[in-house]
Amino acid sequence: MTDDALVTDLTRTFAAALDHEDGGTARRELLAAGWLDALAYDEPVAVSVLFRIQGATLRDAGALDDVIARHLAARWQEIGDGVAIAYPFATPLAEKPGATHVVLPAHRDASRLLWLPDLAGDDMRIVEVDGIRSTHAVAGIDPELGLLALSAPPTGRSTRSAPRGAPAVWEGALAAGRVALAHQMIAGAYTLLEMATMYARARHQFGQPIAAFQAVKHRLAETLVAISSADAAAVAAASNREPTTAAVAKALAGRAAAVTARNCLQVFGGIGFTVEHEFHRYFRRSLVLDRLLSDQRALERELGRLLREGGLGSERIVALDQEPAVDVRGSSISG
Amino acid sequence: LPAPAEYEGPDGLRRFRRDLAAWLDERAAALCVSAPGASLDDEVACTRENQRQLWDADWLRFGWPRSVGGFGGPPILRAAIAEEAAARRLFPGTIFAMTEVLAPTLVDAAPDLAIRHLAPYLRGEEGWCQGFSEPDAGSDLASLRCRAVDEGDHWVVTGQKIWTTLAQYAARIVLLARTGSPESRHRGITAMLVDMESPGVTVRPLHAMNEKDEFSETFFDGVRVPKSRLIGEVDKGWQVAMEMLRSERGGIFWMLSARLVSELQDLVAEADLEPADDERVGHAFVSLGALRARTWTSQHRLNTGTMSTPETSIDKILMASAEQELFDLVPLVLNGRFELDGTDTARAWRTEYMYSRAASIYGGSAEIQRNIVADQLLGLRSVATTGT
Repeated sequence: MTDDALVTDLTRTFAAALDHEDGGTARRELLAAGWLDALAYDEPVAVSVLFRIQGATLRDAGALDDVIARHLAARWQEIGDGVAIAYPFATPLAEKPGATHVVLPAHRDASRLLWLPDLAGDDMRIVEVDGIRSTHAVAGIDPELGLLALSAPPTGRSTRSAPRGAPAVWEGALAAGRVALAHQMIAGAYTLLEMATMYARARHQFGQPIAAFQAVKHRLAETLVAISSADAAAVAAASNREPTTAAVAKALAGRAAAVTARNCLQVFGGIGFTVEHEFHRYFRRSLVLDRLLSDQRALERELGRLLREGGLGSERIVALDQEPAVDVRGSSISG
Repeated sequence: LPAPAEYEGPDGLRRFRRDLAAWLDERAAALCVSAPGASLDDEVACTRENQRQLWDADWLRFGWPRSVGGFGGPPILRAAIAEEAAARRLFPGTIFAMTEVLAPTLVDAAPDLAIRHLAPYLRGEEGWCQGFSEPDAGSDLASLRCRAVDEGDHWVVTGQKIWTTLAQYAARIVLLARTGSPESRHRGITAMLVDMESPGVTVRPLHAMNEKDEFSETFFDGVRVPKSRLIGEVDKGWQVAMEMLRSERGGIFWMLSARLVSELQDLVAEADLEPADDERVGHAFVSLGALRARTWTSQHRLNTGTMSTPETSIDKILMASAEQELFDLVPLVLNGRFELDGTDTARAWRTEYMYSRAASIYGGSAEIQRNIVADQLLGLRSVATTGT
């Protein structure tokens, strides 16, 4: 069981630190609030608290980089604190080269950049840079996030390759990153579901709240089911730290985000289609988060391949005697 | 033999599971594994034989209160036994799972009956069944009409139940009967434990499309039931039913999800999968992952008494959709062998496939579960409707 006082304390301090529109400022505040200490002290709780705030508020302090770097540091000591990460994101067409990697904008002032050629953990290297300013923020589908796009590793002052032992901890680092993203996507989905449920109670048609119609109720119910199962999987993966569980959790978070977007927009109706409504901000963010560290379909394909090749022959996803390392949220929302 | 004190304190569950798994593996040759395509008779016999061995070795006493013949300890120990046995195909289908639906509520609501009848049930000496649904009371359970007339020291029960799982193998039935006025809905229902051998009880198995006559119609024609067979309080049977539904929709899915994961692994081993199948197989695996993770949290929350009955509807929805998605794969990846082959294996896949079609109907339909989620978890019950 988790320490309630710790959760309350972290929730308060992290929420205050993230309350800045500028990601760079939020990041400085977050580090000053002891985020890295909390991460070292109780990773499951610190990650769940912070990434759920990021998901619910749409703020992003680049904390994903810290989660991954901390796992790599076990075999790659010089990685240290504060390295920014260039994530593989897009596969451009051969005849039309373009950006392949993204950096979280809160980390634009970083002096070191970890370049991940792909998600296999090979050829990782650190480049010394003077910030990531040379690249402009891309609008893309989520201009509010403002990812920094790169099409090749920057030519920095020096480049260092990962030590021999680093690939061995990459799998754990990737799993930890996927768990963090799952928490963030789930919190975003919960926020939309709460908004849609309130709206369904308030919006009247045919002389009654649309929440009285079973067709509307069932859409909202299905959304809660999808989010609750993704939530449970994120808790399971945070607790057992198994790569397979983390892949399942990230895939389920992607599914939950897609189900939530489809059903909630349908409940909001026309107003949800306008940018006056907040729906599009959450929707845009979920599309980007789903893509980071493998999207839902890629994860499912990969798990299917492992099964086909006999790699998951006795997998049971989570063991009964695994204690939840994060408190499980009850499946109800205050609509 | 395992002793209760060994599994107290932190890490007790892990040690319990480890020792249990070791015992099951060591005894593998003596335990009964149902062959693919086995008949329901064989599956029931096999399950009961394994229950007997597990009880006699004391494993099945864990997690049940000492007052009814158990060893005490947290109920999550029972989930560990069910999972490990199911994963080894020692408990096929839902035969053993029914103990988890019916018995915990009996222990709470009728301890005297539990003292007498629980041990023979868990040891596989006798079966029990659940008399809830009626021909005109399916999703609308509160409209049930099977009547129990008060005759002083006993009731006289007349009416019909349907979908009574394994009634033909049962010595006892947990019956919901109308003791209030016909219009009393959920306020006039009483739960009682009735002997199936009582004069006036008739069982007629229904031949189902999965080729296993698991469900029956059960008729009651002036059946005398002593008042000592009361479960809970008179006219308070709805609460008893809701407690049982919490188990039916929550507690048993940890075990059943382990079985489904094994089924997927069997299917993958048997089919000639191609890379083009990866996405679909992976999707089914992730859906099972949703069920596993959710039922894992549910086990821990049920164990600490922090899970409400409506929340178990989420588990039920996940179970039905994961089970159907898994068996949707079977015809796709067995490429004609599923429809055509006369082998026991093919017959077993057909039976399971057909059974999975009912997963969104039994135990409260998918629509009822979604109503519960919306009304009680999203708080939409109070939303006024003008009606049409």
